[in-house]
Amino acid sequence: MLKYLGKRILTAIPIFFGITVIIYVMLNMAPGSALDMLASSEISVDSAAYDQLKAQLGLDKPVWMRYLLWLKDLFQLNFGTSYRTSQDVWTMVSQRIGPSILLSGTGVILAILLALPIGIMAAYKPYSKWDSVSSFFALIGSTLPGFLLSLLLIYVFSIKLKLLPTSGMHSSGDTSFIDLFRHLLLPALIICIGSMGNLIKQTRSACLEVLHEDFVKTARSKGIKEQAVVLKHVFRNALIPVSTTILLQIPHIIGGTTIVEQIFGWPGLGSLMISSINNRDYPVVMCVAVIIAITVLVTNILIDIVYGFLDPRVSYD
Amino acid sequence: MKAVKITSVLSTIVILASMMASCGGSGSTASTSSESSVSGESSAASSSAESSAEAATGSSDSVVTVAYTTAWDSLMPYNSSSGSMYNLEVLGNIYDRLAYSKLNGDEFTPRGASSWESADDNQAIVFHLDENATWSDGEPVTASDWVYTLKLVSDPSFTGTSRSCAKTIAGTDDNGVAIDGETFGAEAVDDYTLKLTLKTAATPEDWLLANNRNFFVLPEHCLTDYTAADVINADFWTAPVGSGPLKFESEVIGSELVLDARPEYQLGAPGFGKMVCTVMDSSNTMNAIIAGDIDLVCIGNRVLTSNIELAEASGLEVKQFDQATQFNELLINNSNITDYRIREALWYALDKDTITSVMTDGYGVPVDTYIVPGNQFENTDIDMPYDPEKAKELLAEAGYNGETYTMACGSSREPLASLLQQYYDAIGFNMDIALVDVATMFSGLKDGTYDIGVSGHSATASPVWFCNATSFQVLAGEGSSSYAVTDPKFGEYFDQINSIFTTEERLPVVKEFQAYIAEQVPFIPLWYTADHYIESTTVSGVDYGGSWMCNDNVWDWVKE
Repeated sequence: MLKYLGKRILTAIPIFFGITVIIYVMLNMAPGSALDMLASSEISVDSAAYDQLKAQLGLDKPVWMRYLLWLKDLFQLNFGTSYRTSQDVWTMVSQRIGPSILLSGTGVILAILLALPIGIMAAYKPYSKWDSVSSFFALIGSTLPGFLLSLLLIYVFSIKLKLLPTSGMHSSGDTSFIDLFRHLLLPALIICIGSMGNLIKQTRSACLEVLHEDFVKTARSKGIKEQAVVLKHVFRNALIPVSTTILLQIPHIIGGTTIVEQIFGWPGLGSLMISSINNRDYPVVMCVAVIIAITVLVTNILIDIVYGFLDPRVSYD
Repeated sequence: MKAVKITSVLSTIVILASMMASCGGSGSTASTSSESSVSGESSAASSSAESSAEAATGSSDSVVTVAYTTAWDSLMPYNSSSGSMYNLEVLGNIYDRLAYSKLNGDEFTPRGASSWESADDNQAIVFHLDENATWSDGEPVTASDWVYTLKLVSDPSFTGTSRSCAKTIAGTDDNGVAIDGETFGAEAVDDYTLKLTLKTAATPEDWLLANNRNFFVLPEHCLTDYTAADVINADFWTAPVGSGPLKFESEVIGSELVLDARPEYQLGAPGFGKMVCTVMDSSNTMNAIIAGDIDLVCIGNRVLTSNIELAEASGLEVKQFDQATQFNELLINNSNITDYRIREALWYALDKDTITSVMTDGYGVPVDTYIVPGNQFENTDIDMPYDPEKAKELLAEAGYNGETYTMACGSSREPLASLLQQYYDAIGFNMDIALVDVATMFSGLKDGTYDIGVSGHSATASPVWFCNATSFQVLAGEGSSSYAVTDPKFGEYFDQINSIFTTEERLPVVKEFQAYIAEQVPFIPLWYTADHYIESTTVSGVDYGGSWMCNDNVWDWVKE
């Protein structure tokens, strides 16, 4: 197992660097730079200051040299300074990680807690009310755009019913759990609905496959209680493909859900990424990209490990 | 099985621990904070200071929440990467300016300076500073601070993005860099008298109109340990000390900024305890106002014309500025479209009345010049009506060969671009539309990728306001960092207008300048709108026009 892990980590390292190269090159291929934002500003920047700024930001160097300098700083865990705010990039990003994990984590966990039972019941009782419920949520989650659902729920719960706030992470001067919960509920619900659709479908189809297996019939004929049959035998085996879907939500937790964060003014990594891309704030974009890349790579390794635990037939020798 | 249980338990613990760690609120664990967390716990010292103002002007516990649709960038006034109105508005609450500007800059009232007058035959301006002005750390603001600020930004080794306020000061070059051996034109005559000697003569009002918005005083006593080269990187800017009506408390960078009211501010104590500036998507600001989650939206609490009905149906009072505020224009890359006849044809091809009516829901006014409609400097003799036949003639005269040009615009302006494309199709002018973001548009106009751009600007009463804007200077499109417009006659007009001090003498020159613009068509004015705003139901005393000029009169605000 350790040998396998070691191999996977060694494989992940060049993949990580490949990802950073691709992202860095693509960023620099996009038209415009951080300096071009000044052209739309209310202040005038003279040519000497423009050139000085260009040199200061390192934008006068070729792309490959800038990438190597960035890499050198990365090895020293220095993510540089934001072009836009002139603040330390890690400070900016680290402020957003917690809120991102909170929002997306809550949404994803809610989705798992709701989707798994619904999916199991939909498979256990096909063409029943459970199946209808699962189809409904699967459809809503897969087809309804996040921004539309967001605005709809804001209209209903914030404006009409005045139950929940429209945006933000907390009310001014209030850091109580209740206040946080009220702010978290709507955006987490949007993420939950968005994630549920696929998860319900996966769970339902995986359980349906397993339900007709011989060992399930054997378990029933041995007199094992139906609940135990479903949970210990059916779900346990259906979990193998479903766990992939669940674990692949982890990068979403870290990377944030951009649209929901934008609409709800949630200070997460997704909204930071978008504003940084729009402002050509390369250091911030690269830092967030590094975090997401590492998360994805680690998640892939985690999936393999979890497989080994779930399926005794999988061996890492 | 046991291993699975252990794994799932451990995973649950990790996730819960992460959630608990972030449950403390975005500001309490990670934000930079000058004295307290975002939770708003006040220190004993600030509580006692604030309570003294409580009886007079509103509760010190009250919080004014202002939504920003675009985040501010740097809290260092001379290192903004965007120079945006949003950034200027935030800075104006933390740092002091010399004067307070009303809508369009028609009128200036005292702020950091209590009065000013011209000196040395308009070659200098003397500002008498308010002796009650103090920094948020209690130190007095003196003329030395203002001189220090100008000297800092004009230092050749200063690495900030903007030193525009120093450009007009004697002893500096065209870029605002101090010239070695020449007398620098900023002088602290005494502790509370600042004298600025200018390169070219100007009235105080003209100088303030052009420079006040970007000129903030910095605390010399906090920054003397830094050189001009490294001051930009000072930790000071993560929790700055200013002399504005509000002081920095904490920030979640790019998301939330908490400012405490300063009861000791020289123009009066704000009628609230705290201001929270929060970044919010523009699609949600109206919802937030209706729901009561925010008190104001930045830059004058503006409301889109498409939301006026909704606002009024929700019981909000919608008003309109009594002066036009927003100018919309087509930027033309003069290096790509070199023949003025083609540019003229693009002007005559447009039915501005219809375009304006459609794009502004009837609230806009089509214009033939960049001057604010109704302003005394407006040249009303310019007559270039919608005439597609004339446009076709001009294209033929110019030998237009059917080449396809590209118009760049943001997604919000796509309807306008499509409308313009129809008018240009009608005269046989081929044009494609490229939907890009702002940076790409200006970058493309500069390097010649795009031929036409669509933009909007906030106007002022200055007769040369638009022509000082960087956008206008980008039109040369030479692909270099030199933004100067190629036609030297524009520069001659600027200099001439800026060297005249009486309105009577200025009027004919400004009108002639507008006529020249109409003749050469470096850009095409489209329309002006007087924006609508919502009268806040929770905060009184707001000067919405001043807010539009990126300065808030927060010392007059009272949270109801």
